[in-house]
Amino acid sequence: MTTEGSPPLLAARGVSLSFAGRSQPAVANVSLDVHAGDAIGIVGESGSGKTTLGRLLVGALHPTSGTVTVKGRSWSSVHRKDPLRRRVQMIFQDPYSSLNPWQTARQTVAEVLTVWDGLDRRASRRRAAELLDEVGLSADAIDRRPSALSGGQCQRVGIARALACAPEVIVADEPTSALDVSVQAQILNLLDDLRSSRAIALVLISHDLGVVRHATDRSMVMLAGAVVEDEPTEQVFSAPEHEYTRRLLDSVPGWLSEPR
Amino acid sequence: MSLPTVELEHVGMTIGSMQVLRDVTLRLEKGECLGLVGETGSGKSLTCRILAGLHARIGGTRVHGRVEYEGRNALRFSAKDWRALRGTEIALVPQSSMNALDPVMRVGRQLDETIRAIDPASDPRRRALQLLEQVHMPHAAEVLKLYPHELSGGMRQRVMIALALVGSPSLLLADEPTTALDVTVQRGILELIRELRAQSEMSIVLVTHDLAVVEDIADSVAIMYSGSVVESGPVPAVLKAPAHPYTKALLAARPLVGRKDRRLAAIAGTPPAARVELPGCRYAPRCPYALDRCRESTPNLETIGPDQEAACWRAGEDLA
Amino acid sequence: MSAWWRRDGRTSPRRGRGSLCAGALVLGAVVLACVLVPIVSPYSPNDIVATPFVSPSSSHPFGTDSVGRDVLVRTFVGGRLDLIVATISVLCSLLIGTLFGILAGASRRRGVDALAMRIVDAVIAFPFIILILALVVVVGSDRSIGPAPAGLPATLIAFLIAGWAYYARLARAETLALRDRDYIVAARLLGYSRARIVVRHLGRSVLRVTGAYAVADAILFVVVIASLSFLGAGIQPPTSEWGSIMYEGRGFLGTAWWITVAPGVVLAITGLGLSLIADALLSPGGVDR
Repeated sequence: MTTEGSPPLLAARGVSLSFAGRSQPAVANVSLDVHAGDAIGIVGESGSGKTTLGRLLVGALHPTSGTVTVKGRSWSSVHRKDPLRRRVQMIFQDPYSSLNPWQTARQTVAEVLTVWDGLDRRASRRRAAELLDEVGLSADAIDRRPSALSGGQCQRVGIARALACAPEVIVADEPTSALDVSVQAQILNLLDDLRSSRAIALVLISHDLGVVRHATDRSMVMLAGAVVEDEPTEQVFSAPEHEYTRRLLDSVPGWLSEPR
Repeated sequence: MSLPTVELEHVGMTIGSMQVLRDVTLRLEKGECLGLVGETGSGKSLTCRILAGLHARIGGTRVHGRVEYEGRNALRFSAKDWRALRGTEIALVPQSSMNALDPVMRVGRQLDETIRAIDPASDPRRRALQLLEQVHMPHAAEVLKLYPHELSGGMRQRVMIALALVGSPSLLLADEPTTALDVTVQRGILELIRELRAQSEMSIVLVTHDLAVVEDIADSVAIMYSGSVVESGPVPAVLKAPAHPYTKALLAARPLVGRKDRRLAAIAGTPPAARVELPGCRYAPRCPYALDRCRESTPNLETIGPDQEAACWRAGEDLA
Repeated sequence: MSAWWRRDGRTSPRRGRGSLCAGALVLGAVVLACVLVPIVSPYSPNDIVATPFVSPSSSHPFGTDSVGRDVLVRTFVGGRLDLIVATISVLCSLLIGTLFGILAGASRRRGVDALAMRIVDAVIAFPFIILILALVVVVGSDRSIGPAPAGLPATLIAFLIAGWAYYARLARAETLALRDRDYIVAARLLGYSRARIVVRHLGRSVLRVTGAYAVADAILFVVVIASLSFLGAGIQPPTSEWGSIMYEGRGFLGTAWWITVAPGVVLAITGLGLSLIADALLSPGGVDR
């Protein structure tokens, strides 16, 4: 999948971030390349810095040292109206708080289309309905507000909103940890479908080793802000090199009895 | 043979006009650990609430069916009876230890308060220390002086378990005790629960959405869907040879650490809302094996193997 | 997830609906009376239509006052003024304060926010009654501007100077709480302009909180308008207004109690309606999560 040699879509170089008043950096010297079609997993426990790294990658936070570049340009030079801004989008953990509680599913998606593509009201509403249909939101739900949607439905709206930007990279921060297992499978399948049908690179942040194993080709294991293992996913799970990775794997309940 | 600690038979519950539980049948033997598994809205937490005698606190509830504690009809218990039971016979470990502990009270005082109320004969400080050691709290003496926010999630959950153990309960209700925890911390809590079981005759009801946790520490499991128990039985039997299509689908939908297949077997659709009445099986609209019969009449739990029961018209068949 | 000891909006009956309807009904009745009574009544508010101190009867349900004017029509004509002034003052305070508070809270620069809040503190710290009395002196209690009767300009100006500050403080606190919500972060990542985020994404949620507060605040405004007239500093006679009617009637409480009680009761009923609505709007279980 990875197109080696071509310049990366998104690149982090020696990125660190320290929060004021904390002695330890939240993210310490992390480097990472994202190419078209990649599926990269970032695994770690709470406090490992994986969420902070995700926010650095999408440009929601700025590193204290190092750079994050999108198509060769640093986030700090990308204005909010710059077309590059829309190419990297995020899916959030809490399906409810990631949506404006006052907007219906359709309004949420249509807003992106009016702002970026200058579509008029009718065109944006029609296109929004198409996108919501593509992510599998049932037709009766598109004019509902988040409080009337299930967690899985909200997550679909969040994905459709990201798609409306025609993104090249999606950073998904624990996209399924608030969802039930059967819904989690639907959302992970959807993300995988979009990755292949629209050639979107996926960076999947999760504490769930099973999710990362399924959805990614390359995995990075984070501990205390640093990446301790960065290998193809198969290798991380079959032959973990770092002691911490082994400990994580050993902690997964039922893992010894799983069919292999 | 001694009486089972808890027995629920065809228990239903309505809140106002909404049927939130339909047909819950469970049996918990002394010293057994039962995993109660279900997705959001399946009714597993409400069942837990009935077991703790806390159902009357939601306004407008009616419970029907049979609920027995060691042979006694628990639906006849008064609020006073329940108060006497909770803390001594029945103890509860909630999911969110952050919400369950008083944020402005030191851990020592919270333990102290509970010990004085439930076990007034003992020396509170010594008992508190002993309990914290029993749950393998590191630096127990120092922890007594700390506030809840100064503890990690795993340590707080250990405090919650220590609080539950004050009255040496015979039934422990644990509602998603490890859901909010990291996997390495979860491992520690699960090991603690296993160890506590080995030390005492305590029965445990473990409410969870995670089949792996059940597989790890439970003896038997009950799978709930849309207000009913659809399959129950010994853990190895149910997880290795599930009879209900929902159990099969739930097992298949899990992304496993040890297996790589890109497509997960998602269950299409969503569970019916509690207010929706269906003439047949409530899983039928999502079930790939559903026949006309499934849509027309509701199957009851039937024995399909040693101690294994399933509520499915096609449970006996070999569904490929 | 399963956590039944937490409040669950889906299983607990939605509170607030009943009190919202009741409040709207009560307030609606008062507004309707203020509109209809002066139209239907054969009397005009400032005309002497009977002998003084006629006790309540079928021709004068609220009796007549010390010079023989009909108290019923005076009460509801006065109610028009009270309600309009309160509505204007509250709406202006609400909009100005909310916008100010959101801009302060959403500001990236710490200094801007700090300065804005010190201004708010200063306004709140200034004694309101003294401000009004000072304004009455400056503007003049007998000055009428355009259609506004004497005393009203000073009252309105005072309300506008002091009223917005509480809304600003409330709006800023709410903005700070919302600012790091995922949907606001998402809006930034989507490249939405600052103005769009403030108006479309923060504005509505913040306005829900300040708006509910405004309804509760309206009670206070009505009472303050009436109290000011009662103190002689607000709207001046002969313009009828709840406070001024009560002020005029205070000397005859023992003999002609109805002059004071009638507008007092209507004022209390208005307050009840508003507080029922405010209660419903502020109770949990709304749209916001």
